[in-house]
Amino acid sequence: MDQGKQQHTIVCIDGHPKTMMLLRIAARRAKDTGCTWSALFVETPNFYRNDESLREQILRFLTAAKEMGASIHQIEANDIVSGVREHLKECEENGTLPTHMLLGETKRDGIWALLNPSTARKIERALHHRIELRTVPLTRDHEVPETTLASTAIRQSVKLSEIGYGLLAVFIAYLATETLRMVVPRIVFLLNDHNVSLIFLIACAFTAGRYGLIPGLIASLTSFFAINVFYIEPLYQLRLTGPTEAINLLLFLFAALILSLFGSYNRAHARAIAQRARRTQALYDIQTVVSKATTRSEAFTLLYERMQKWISMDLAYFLPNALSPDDLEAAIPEEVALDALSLKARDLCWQELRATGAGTPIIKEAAWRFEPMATELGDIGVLGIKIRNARNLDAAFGKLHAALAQKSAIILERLELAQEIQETRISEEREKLRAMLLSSVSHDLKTPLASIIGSLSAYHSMYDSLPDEQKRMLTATALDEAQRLDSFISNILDMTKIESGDIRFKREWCSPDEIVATVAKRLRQRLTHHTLTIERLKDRIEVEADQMLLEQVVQNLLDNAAKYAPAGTEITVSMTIDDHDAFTFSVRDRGQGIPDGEQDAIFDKYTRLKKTDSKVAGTGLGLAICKSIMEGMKGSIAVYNHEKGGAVFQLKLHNWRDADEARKEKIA
Amino acid sequence: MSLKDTCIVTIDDTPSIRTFLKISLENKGAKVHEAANAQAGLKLVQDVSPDVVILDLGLPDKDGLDVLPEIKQSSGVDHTMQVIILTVRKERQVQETAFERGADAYVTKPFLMEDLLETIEERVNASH
Repeated sequence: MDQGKQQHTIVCIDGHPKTMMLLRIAARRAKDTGCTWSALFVETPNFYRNDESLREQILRFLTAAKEMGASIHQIEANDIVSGVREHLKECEENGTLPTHMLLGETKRDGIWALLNPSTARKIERALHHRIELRTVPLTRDHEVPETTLASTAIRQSVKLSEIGYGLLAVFIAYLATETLRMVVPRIVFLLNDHNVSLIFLIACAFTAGRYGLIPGLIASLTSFFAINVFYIEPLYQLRLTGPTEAINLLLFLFAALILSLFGSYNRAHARAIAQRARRTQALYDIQTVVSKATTRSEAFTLLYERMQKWISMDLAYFLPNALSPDDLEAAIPEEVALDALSLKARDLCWQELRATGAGTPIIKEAAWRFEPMATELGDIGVLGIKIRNARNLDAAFGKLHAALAQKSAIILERLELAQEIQETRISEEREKLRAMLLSSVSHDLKTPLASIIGSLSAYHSMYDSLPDEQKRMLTATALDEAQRLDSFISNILDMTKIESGDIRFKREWCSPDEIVATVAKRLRQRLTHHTLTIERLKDRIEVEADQMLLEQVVQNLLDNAAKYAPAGTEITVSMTIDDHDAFTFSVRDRGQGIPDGEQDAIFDKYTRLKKTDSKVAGTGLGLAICKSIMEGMKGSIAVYNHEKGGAVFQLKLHNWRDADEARKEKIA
Repeated sequence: MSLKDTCIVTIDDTPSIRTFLKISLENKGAKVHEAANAQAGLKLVQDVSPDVVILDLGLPDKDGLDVLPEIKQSSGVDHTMQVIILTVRKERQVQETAFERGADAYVTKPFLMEDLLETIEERVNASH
């Protein structure tokens, strides 16, 4: 034993029922000595012609080995010895050469042992110089016959239709022969025993290659009898006249049998390759799905559809119930009918996060096989596949199932993480904006206060020395700023109320004329530097709105106009009915207008904050509130630049009536 | 106290603040020039070479802290121009930066006019 090398044991898995014992021995040994171990399965071409239970068994052994801590290896080879040799060579290249090998050996006696050594012996002979072998004797009790070419041939499952096709091929050969005989004159082509048997041989070869061994064999036998009856003297009888015919016929049969055997062998091989290719494709395609899906449900649907198509088996994804994560529920398809055993297997799979169901050591009688979908960050769910018939099961299937489950887990996890990142980013943004809003509000409250306190303290401390006019100016400034502060505070409170849904919009008939008059009077001081023009409608109109709130909107608009319009310019208020029969209230200033592209953003309460400058105090919230109020009253607000310069803010309300007519109706 | 012969430039974007500042300072005998933004303010300072500059930080076109060094630079050979920061911002970080960049005093809004006058007087005396 090398001192410096890590001990590593390798166990060869085959169909022997005592393999489990071997595995347990290896696992125990590994645990006791603290070394690693692996299980190797050599896939020979025979394997594909084994019966279902054997294949299932091997799959179970491999799964069990994996759970006991072995690393699983699978290698294809023509026979077991070369397979093992190949694997050891690979290990040597990787630097993971096993130090020990555990083999199971069945007893063979005497001459038979010499002539037909057991696989274990063969391996021993081939490799004893490279690896320490330890054979574990296995008793003869439930011996499974060694899988040889001949023995597996009989156990292959056969379809009736394939036999039918075989017979059909023979029949066609017969027809061909007869046709040739009738159509082609004797001078050109003499139909004798040789050509006839060749023609039938073609039929047998074709059948075996296309449909497998049993149909091939049946075709061979049928051809044998056909030739005997129809073409060999005496005709229409099974009897043979001489040894030549007998020998010829037997030669034919022998040739046909050989052809059938090899034909079916090739077929099995070709099918194995095709199946393998399909599975590789399946795994590869999952990667493509990864890049396309953007949401979890999309990923699920894509995965489900794809996989159903590739493996042509029923599959189902199960996810933990949001309220009780220990229980699973079907995610896709939404309804899955599981029998009691499968249900048990599924729940066990989720609880213990290991493969359960058909082809595993746990609840192997279940109709489904389950693999857990888990990543380092968490357990996602379970992927179940319904095993229609165990013929499809082999060692590679377990791997495929596990790979599909793992890939699905990764995809889903990735999507979840992406979503988490998104949500974190959004909430961070929101926090940032909230902080900005707070500091902006603080600034907007303090500035008018500074004017009030400054003006009044100046008035107070310099009372004796100030001329009257200046005293008046100071008090006017203080008053003005106090009103601005009041208006600003109202805006904030309203904004809060609107956002929390507290505000109740009254529906009453109010006069726009009166509203404008009230607001103009209130803002008299601030509008001293501007000329206010009001364009009314001919008839007196009433609109259905919340009067107090509408006043607030109008006040906000006029206040803005006063701020933005240069001193000395005109502010025009006009009331009209537009083409869609909506009452329109416009406020136009002669300022710089609204920059292009910002006509919508201006109503967003965060707009002013996002820009680094702070143009005029209070405009940030004011327009946002106007928008909320107008929308709450089922109206609208918008802004555009007037062609002759300046901004025009427009309010629209749809419910209006002629005031005089309404009064008349009331009286009447 | 008297601010006679003192030339003061006030730079603030809020009209009402400029109003009461002008009234108060002129009442004390100072000559007051006003500007509503950083650009105009800087030009004004360069043109009139005031003794005192009252500078708001929340200006529309540029942060007051950024224009502060430029204003201080146009102080002239004698370097006696005093810059008094007037702002709502109270954070220590902002104060420190202001002083680093050459501010001579830092007053937060809201404030009492008499306090500001006192500060101006202090600074003017200190510079002479």
